[in-house]
Amino acid sequence: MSVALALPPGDDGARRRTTDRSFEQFLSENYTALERFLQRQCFDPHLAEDALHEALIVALDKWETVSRHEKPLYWVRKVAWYKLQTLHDRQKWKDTVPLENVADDVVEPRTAHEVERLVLHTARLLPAQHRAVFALMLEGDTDQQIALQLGLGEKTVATYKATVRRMFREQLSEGAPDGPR
Amino acid sequence: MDLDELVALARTAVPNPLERARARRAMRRIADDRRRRLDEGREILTDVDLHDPLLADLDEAQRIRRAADLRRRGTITWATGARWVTWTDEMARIFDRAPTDSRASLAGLFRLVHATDRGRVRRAVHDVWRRQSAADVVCRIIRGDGSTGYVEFLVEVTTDGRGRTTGIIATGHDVTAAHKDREETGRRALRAASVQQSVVEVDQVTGLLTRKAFADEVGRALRTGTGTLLVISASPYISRSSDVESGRDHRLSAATARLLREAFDALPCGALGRHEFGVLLPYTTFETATRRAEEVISSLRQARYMADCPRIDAFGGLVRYDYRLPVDSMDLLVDADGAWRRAKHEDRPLHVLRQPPSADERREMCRNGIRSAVDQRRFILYAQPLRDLELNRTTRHEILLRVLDEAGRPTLPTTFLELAEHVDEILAVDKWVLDRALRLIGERRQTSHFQINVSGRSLGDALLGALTDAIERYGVDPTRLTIEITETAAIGNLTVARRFADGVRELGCQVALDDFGTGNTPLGFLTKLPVDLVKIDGSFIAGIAHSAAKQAVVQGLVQMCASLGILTAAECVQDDATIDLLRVYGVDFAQGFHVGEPSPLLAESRPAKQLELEVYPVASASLAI
Repeated sequence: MSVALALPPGDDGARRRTTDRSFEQFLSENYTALERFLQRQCFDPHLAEDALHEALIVALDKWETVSRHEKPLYWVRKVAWYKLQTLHDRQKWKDTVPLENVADDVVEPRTAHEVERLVLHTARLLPAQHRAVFALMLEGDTDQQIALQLGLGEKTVATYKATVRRMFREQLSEGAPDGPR
Repeated sequence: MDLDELVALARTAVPNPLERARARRAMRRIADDRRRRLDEGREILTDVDLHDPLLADLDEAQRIRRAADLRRRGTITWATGARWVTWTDEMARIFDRAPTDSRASLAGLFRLVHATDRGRVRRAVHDVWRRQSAADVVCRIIRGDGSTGYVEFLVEVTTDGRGRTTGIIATGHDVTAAHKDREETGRRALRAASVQQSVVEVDQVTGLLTRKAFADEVGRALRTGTGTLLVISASPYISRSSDVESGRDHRLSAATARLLREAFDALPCGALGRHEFGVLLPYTTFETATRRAEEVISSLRQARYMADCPRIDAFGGLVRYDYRLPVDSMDLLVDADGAWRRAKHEDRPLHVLRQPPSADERREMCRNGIRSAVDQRRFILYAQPLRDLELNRTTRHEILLRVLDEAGRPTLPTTFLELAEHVDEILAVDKWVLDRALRLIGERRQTSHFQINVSGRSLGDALLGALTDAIERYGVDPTRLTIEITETAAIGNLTVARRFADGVRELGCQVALDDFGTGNTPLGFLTKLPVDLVKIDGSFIAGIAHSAAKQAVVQGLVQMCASLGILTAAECVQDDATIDLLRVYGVDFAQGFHVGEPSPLLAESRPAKQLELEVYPVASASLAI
């Protein structure tokens, strides 16, 4: 906030337009990925969308500061995730889904759609924070990056990742009709 | 496929034009919303940390604390080697402590955990430390005001940049409300599964309402309006003594029930007794009801070889009911019953009772019927074994009453006893049973412990006197005698009941409560009456192996009785699985067809001549208990 206030007043309009363009560029590159990141850990698409929308309004408002971050995407992702947690807290985590075995056709996924189904199946088996770690693993983040975004210790991230791997293996061996693969 | 492969496959591709277009639309929505909020003067920046997350300028503990603050989570931090833990204001709030009181010793901290959870929490924290991992722990804490709260903690080890451990941090928030919600949801689910779907009892042979359920239905109709009640008797023209064993009785009842259901569609139909059925016709005049009744009776009479029965002898009795008349469902059933017997007597298909008897007349008729049954000894006594589950052998017998029907066959006395209680004539029956049973017991060597039923209505000095006399007269060992108080009628006067029970025990006999759990005996009687044995009602025992609800009830009941020094017996035991289960629960005795069927205590000489019981329904559906 302090950075934004420190900027000289006057050419407000021009500055706003530049910021908007930069933010628009950011969105066109990252919007789908951000949306999917949230939807992978929230089974109510509307809730995910609300959280992202809220986060992006803040991001646009503070874009001058945020865009100077090393990787603005990480900041936006972190804020969106926090917003989602707040919404979840408010809903008392009522959007739980029934657990089901993974369907045979996604044990060896071939299309992008099947990959996403397998991802969602896996995510459903995990507790909330494990799910967030899993979603960030899918984004290709390192342990440290995950720890920094989710406000966790690095050892915790390593522990959670090991749990995710174990659950994933167990899920596949349960879903496969001919024993463990 | 392993997880790394999936991660590689799921990696985000470069957005396609469609996705870019969606992003542009989102941009417009976001910009509009932001502008609107600014115009409305609303705060946009709430609970957000503008700090660059990738800027690793804080140590891990500080970073986690800051993240926790944003999510309104409290933290407790312990640095390696420190003697104290420190907590944040939010954590102080969760524990209901003053924010100034921001540190405690490790031992002091664990003391704040509920004693039941303390060991588990301590182990979890030690595990996290030893394995350098993290764990979610939900536990109860003792708050400053002495109340208990549920808190969910994430316990993590913190490290420095080079992977060296620097301490432990626990992030937590109050989950009391959520925990209670979950408990309530679980409780509701359990309750939904443990409660019976319907309390309407259906007769297993005919699929019609049982006598009790039908009487309830009549009672309900009687309270709300007018109509007619039809009682039909449909017995085989020629009865054979093998009818019950061969199953013909059941087949015929089922066939008749089918015919009635077709004729009367959705109207309440009940199986009242052996070959006896009731139909309730609400808001129906005598004219309409008479027509319908005659149709059904005539089709029953015309039926040939229905369930292997060449011909059926069908009679009907029709009575009117009105909510303004001072009658109850029992009176109505008695009237309708009398009506079909009248039809039979006059050899007409249907008798319409246009003028119901007055209450006194009805009562007098019933009483006379019961008295004459007692005088004419139309009863026979049976004995059913009870197995001692510890010794696994029969050590007791229950004396059971059977009423002889027109053909001299023994039938269940349920209806008869119900009527006798209804008109307060049960004492005569009970006295007869006591006298007869003790005489038979006294005539033989008393090898078993005998249990004799008396009605809750009969308790009093008269019955106690009869018991005392009979014991003396027949030289029966009173210590091997238990008086079972049946629950069908409420024990009217507790003082009288207590005096009776005390008297029985002074004689050396024991006191039991029959059909416990479904009848009219409150739990309080277990402490108010000197009961030696509780017989758990058969409805809790039948099918217990497959019902968690019944298991819970029986287990609890047995435990309670054991603590009070009361023996327990289970009725209606149907299989070995049930016996095993009951033995585990500590039930003392088992009774039922699987343990042993009732057999005549001593062959009674049949009445010399055929007797017609004019006023009361004699029979019941079958011999099965």
